[in-house]
This record gives sequence, C-alpha cells and structure tokens, in this order.
Amino acid sequence: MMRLALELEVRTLLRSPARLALLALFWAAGVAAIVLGRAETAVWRAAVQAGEERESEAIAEARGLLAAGETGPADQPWVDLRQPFWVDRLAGTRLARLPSPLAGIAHASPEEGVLVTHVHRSADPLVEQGSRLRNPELVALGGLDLVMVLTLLLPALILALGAGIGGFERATGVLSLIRTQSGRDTSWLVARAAAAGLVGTAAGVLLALGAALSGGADVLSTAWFLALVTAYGAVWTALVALVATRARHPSHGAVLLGATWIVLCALVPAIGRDRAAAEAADDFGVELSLAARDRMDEIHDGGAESLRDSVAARFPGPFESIDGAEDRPVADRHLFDGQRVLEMERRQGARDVRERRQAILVSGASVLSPAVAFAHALERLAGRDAGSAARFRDAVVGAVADRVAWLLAASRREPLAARDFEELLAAGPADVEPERVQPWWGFLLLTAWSLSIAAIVRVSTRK
Amino acid sequence: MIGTVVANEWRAIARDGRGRLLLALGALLAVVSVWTAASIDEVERAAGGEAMECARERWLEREVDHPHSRAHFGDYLFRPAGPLAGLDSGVQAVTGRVLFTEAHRQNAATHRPQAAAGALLRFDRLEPAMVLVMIVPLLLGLLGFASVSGERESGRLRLLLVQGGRPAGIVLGKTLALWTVGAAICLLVVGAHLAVSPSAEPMRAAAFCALHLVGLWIVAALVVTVSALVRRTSAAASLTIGLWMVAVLVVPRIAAQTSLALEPLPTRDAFEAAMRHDRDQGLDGHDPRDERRVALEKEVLAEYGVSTKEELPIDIGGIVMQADEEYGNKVWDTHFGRLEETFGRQSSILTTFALANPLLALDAISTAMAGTDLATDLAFQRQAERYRRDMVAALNHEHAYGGARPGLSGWKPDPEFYAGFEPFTFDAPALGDQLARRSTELVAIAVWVALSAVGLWFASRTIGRGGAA
Repeated sequence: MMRLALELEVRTLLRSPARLALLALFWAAGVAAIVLGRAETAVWRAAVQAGEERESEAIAEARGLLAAGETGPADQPWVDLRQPFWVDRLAGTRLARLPSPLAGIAHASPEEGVLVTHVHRSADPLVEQGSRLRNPELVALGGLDLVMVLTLLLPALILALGAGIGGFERATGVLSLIRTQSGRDTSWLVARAAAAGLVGTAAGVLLALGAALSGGADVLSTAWFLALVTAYGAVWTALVALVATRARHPSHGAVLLGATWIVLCALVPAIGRDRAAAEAADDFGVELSLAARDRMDEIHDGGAESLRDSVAARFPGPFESIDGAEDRPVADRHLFDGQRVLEMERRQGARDVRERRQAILVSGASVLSPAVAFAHALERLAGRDAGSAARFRDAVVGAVADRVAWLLAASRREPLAARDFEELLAAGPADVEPERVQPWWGFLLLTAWSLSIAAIVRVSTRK
Repeated sequence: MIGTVVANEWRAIARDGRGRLLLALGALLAVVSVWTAASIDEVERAAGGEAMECARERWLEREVDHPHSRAHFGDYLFRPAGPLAGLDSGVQAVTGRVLFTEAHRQNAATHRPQAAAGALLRFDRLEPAMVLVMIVPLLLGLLGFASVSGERESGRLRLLLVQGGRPAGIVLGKTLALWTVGAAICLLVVGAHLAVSPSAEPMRAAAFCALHLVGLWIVAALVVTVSALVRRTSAAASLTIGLWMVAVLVVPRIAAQTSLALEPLPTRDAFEAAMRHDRDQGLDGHDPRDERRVALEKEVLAEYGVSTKEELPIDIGGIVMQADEEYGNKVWDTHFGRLEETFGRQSSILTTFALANPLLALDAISTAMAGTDLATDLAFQRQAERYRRDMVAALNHEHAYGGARPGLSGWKPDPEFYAGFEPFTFDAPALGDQLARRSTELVAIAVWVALSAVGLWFASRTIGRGGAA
C-alpha cells in the first residue's frame, strides 16, 4: 500500500504545476541559504585570518624593537617595552572563535557573539558588540539560512503536499470505495500521508546533505543533521496523517494544518520570545552602565589601598612574596586592573544566571513546539547557539584574568626584557574550537512528538 | 447581490468548524499580542523614564569636579520607545537603547531589548503588527482559497450564475466577506491597543489601522483571484500557501540578503580600525608631545601676546581639548556618515523589493507610522551626538575660560555650572516627515490596490466565460 501511495503522490506532484512550483521554491530558498551560509563562513574565517595577521605584525614589530635594544617606535617616544603596560599593549594576543563545519547553516543566528577579540588588561567581552556591523532594518526582516528554511518552510511544504489527503477521499466518496474493497481505509490515508511526508522530508534531507558536504562536516555531525531533519519531517508527516484521518474536505485539511503551523511555528515560539522579552523589559542596562560607573568611581575614590585585599584574594600568586611596604606600590600598579577583572567576573556570574533562565525558557518552548526544539538543536550543531557564545566569552574572561595576573607579577620584575615578552606570548590563550555537540535532547523531543501523534492517530482510528 | 454573497459567506464561516477555528485563532492572537506587547511597552517606558531620571540625578549629585573629568564621566542617554511601539516595535527590538556620551569618542548604542530572547530571537515577536502582516494573511488564505474553486467543484458556482448572479458581484462579495474577517481582527487589535495603552496616539493609531485595512484588502483580493483562476481546490490551497510563504517568509529575507550582498558593510573590527587610523592622524589632546598640539599652543600664545603658558589668563588645556574634539568629530562624521549612506542604499534596495511585495511595503510604512523605523533610530543617534558635542564643547569652554589657570591646582567650576546643563530630550520626527520618506512604499501600495482590482476583474471575467470550470 505504501508503494501505491508513494507512486500516487509522485504522479500527483509531477502533474501539478502548483506543487512543483512549491517544491522548486523550497529548493531555491534552500540552495540560496547554503550559498549564503558558505559566504558568511568565509567572512568568519577571513576575520580570524585578519586577526592573526594583525597579531603577527604587532608581535614582529615588538620583537624587532626588542632585538634592536629599543624601548619603542621612534615616532612614539612614550612607548616603553620595559614596562608591563606596554608589553600588554603590544603583545596583542588575539583570541578567535573558530567556526564549525556546519556554521553556515545557522549564519542568520540571532546570537551575535564576538568572533575574534583582542586580549589585553582592560578587554571586556561582556560589553563588546558583535563582530559584524548590521543595518537594523535588515536584521528585523530576518536572515535566510538553512535553519530557517528547514524550520519554517519544510513543514509548510509537507503541509501543502498533504493538505488534501483524507478530505479529498471523503469528499469524492473514494474512501468508502476503499473501505468496501479492502477494509483498510485508515491504512491508505496513513500511507498517503507518509508518502507526502517522505517526498517533503527527502527534499529537506537532500538540502541538509548538500550543506553538510559543502561545509566539509564530519560523519557524526552529518548523521546528526540528517537524523534531526528526518525526525522533524516525521513530526509534520504524523500531523498530516492525523488531519487526514479527520478532514471531511480538502479545505478542512488545509485549514487544520495551516492552523497547526501557525500555533507550532509562530504562536508558541513568539510567546516564548515575548516571555523572554518581558523578563528584560525593565533592563535598561543600568547595572552595566550607571551602576558600573558608580562602582568604578567608588573604587577610584577609595584608592588602591582599599582594593589590595580583594585583589590579593583573587590573584594570590603575585602578592605572596610581598614582604615589606616598599614592595607594595609596585605590586599595586595594576590593582585597578585586578579589580576590573573582579567586577567583570561578578557581571559574568549575573549573566550566567540570566542565561540559565533563558535556557529553561527555551527548553519549555522546545517541549511545546517542535519548531523551537528543531531550530535550537540545529543551532547547537552549528555552534551558533547562546551556549557556544558563552563558552567563547568565558574563554576571553579567563584570558583577561590570566593577563592581569601576569601584569601584577611582571610589575615587580621591571624593567622587563625580551624573555618576558616571549613568556607572555607563550602563555597566550589557544583559539576556541567548536564543541562537538550531540543534540540528543532535540532529537528525543522530536521523536516523542512523532510517536505521540502516531499514537493519537492509532487510538482515534480504532474508535 | 454583493450583500447577499457577503452574508452567505459569513454564515458559511460561522456554521463551519474550520471558519470558527480560524476566527477564534485570529481573535486569540489579536488579544494576546496586544496584551503582551502593551504590557512590555508600558514596563519599558516606565523603566526608561526611571533610568533617565537616575542618570540625571547622577549628573547633578556628582561632586563638583573639573570639566574635563566631567567630560569623561559623561552622560547616559536612553532612547524612548516610539509612539506606537506597542503595536509595531520595528527596528527598536533589535537596536541598542542606551548610549554613553563622553569626551573624545562617539559611541554606539548598546543593550538591545530583544537580546534577552536569545535562542528564540530567530522567531518573530508576537505583536500586533506581526499578527496583521504575517498571521492574518495566512488566515485569510486558509479561509478563502476554496471561496470560488470550492463553489466551482461543488457545482454551486454554475447554479449561482444560472440564477442571475453576476460574476463581478460574486467575486467582489467574496472578497468583501474575506476582507471583513481581516478588518474585524485589525479593528480588534487597534481598539484593544488604544484601550490598554494610555500613551498611544489616537491619530497615529487610526492611520496605522487604515494602512493595514488597505493591506488586508489587497490580500483578500489576491486570495479570491487565485481561487477563481485555479481549477482545483487543492491546487488553490498549494498556490495560496506558496504565495504566502514567498511573500512573508522568503522575499523579506531574500531582500535583506540581497541588500547586504549588493551594499556590504565592513566588519566592526575594520570599521573601528579605520576610524582609529584617521583619528590618530589628528591632534591628541592628551599627548603633550603631539606636534599639532604644540603648534596650536604656539598660536594661542601668539594670540594673547605671551611667551609661556603660565602667562596666559586662561587654561589652554580646554582649547586643546576642543581642537581634539573638533578633529574627532570630523572623523566620526566621515565614517558614521559613510555607514549611514550604506544603510540608505540598502534601504533603497529593500524599497525595490517592496514594489514587488505589498507586505514588505506595508511593513515599512507600518514601522514609520509607529515611529520605530530606521529613520527614527538614526534621528535619535544624530540628536544624541549633537547633545554630546554641545556638552563636551560647553565643558571644554569652561575648562578654558571658566577661571582655571596654568599652575592653579584644584580649580573647579561653580556648582551652578553643571546644574545649567539641560537633560537630553529626543525630538521624534513628525508623522508627515516619516511618511514622506516612505513615499515609494505608499505608491507601491496604491499600485497593488489597482492590481488587486485588475485581478478581481480577471477573476470575474474567467468565471463569466466559464473558464477554469
């Protein structure tokens, strides 16, 4: 029966210019998204490359000066490479967030994490903006990436292909005929729905395969990608089957499926987004702007003396061997930097709490909407989710803290020599590699959705 | 005739479970979107007001300090929400609303309100404009795709024509019936917004409502035209859903990507590096060894007819700082000006797409009416920058001529000096100016109204000739 249904769906598809146009549109959007994704990933790689080149130039210049026994460039007499302050400025360690092979599929991700950052004593990844300048008018329209095409258009395609199933058979009396002849009318409807779903899902899987191959993804990531698309296609196929067993007319089926799309792909995610927006509605950045400025003012007014204990508790190493009061002024030179790190870590903690709340909200929305579960799983797989950005941010905060620890220690060794410069470079942070993600949670949610709907179909048709 | 068709259509929708389902869904979306958007909007307005007061208090209560210290202390500005932000948040959802103004640099706005949505930011926000531009067209498509093709398949269309029904009357009646469904949701949305949002401007809200009523008419006419021109109901369903996908999900994104591809923007790193490079070519007010600074100092000494800074009756530091600012301002104007020009060219490309997609044109005019479009955001940034320059210039003037002298340590201005600074207020562009900027989109809507009439004429002619039967 499945083979018969599949043949019928393919024939119907080939005979219907409207359906063919829809399939062509889906493919065109998908291919455009893959091409754009590749271009965006190339821009990302170029940004990393440019950062590396600028860093190499700065390091080469500093090494040249140190080798020549000069303290700084001739046109900048105030630069003194014997001081940690200037070594920090010229060591120019850049930290890059490397793209995953599937990064292109989520290039329009709203996550605007920084891709390359310059690590120095006063770097603050919590206030840095994304690496791209964006026209807000274009941002508000949304981006065309494969995650969007698969999340929103794949269901619409499956629904359009399967909208008439069940309703057509009932309206034309075909279903009574099938029931009389074989007694398996429900099996026929389910087989037709499965065939329509198979055509739509196959179109999605082929796009996914194309994106994985063009990005050079490894076998495991590709397998996860294809499994997620198949599981998502199965959810919408099951919904088509459910509606097919109920619809009395093709238009009834279309309306029911359209309403389902609105609820699962627009309403539930939008309510989730508004819940998140409501949580931040009163956040005018006062904590990060006015309050932060006040705190730094208080710290400056209090003087270095008031900071020593807290900074020494955070960076015990540089303070361990301070014996007498005469040592203190030297060690105190970067106390404000140490305090800045403490402030940054405190804000990072607050941000982590907020992001955990967001993650709970996303999990809730994922349970209620397969579209959210699918999009979130794909963004994780692509390394373009909030968690990936947070990992990079944590790495930058850690690198800045390490830099300040070095400054605190190095300030007691002044005047610095070439080996100190090399020591700082050697202790520089490594680029942040994309995490190998296995989106089990998303896959299980989608499977649970499919199985639940299939169970409802089974129970309702038995009645 | 038309009235009878409209009444029949309404009865059919009311009797039919699918009609009731869609109407209920539309009404639910309308109410929920208005309620959530209005409540968020009110909280944002209140919080924004408090933040502004807080910043003002900090300015006034700060211990009297040197003008240049105050210039570094700076001021925080908070972008107010647009007049109809509760109906259409436009670009305000994705742009920063906190701007730090200080000496020596023009900062970008930070703290995007919607950034908190994180992973859910990919999905559209549930707000009245989203319901009217995205969801209601789909509802009308689902309600109307079988309006003529279904009648034809069941044979009722032939019956109607035999009984004397005029094709134009049938088509117009069905369009009107469909439009009234959308119009009811639109009126519900705007009415509810006016009821729950005390800060809403009724005139703008009326214009917003009128615009969306016109947009929904275009949608209703297109749905009925497709239904009349396509032979089978299932094909009409596929085509209607396909057109909706194209107009709502695909074309806006293609338009955005095309604009970006044709008019690319530099990376933030490159943009800032270019500005830094140009800035480094000018005078550095903080570097006493800077050649331009030395030249300026000589000029001032000559002007006052003295040979050393100590002999001056003023503090030359303020003059140097202002010269530094003026050079920096030229650099910011050049680079931010170029950026704005690129934004403008990108917007022009979007406008071209809006000619082909009425929903894109509708969206652009809607944000302009709501006072949440890009032009309003740029106006805020320009006014904020003007405020920054005036503030820093006044501080530098006080620094130079307020009474400070070289070698006179610990000098501070009169406390009234700081109290004399007026807080920043944003003067939002008038509705007329905003609409004038969207004249092409307005023309596009007018053209689409005409095209929808042509479509309906074609549809009625097809029915009259027994076409697609």
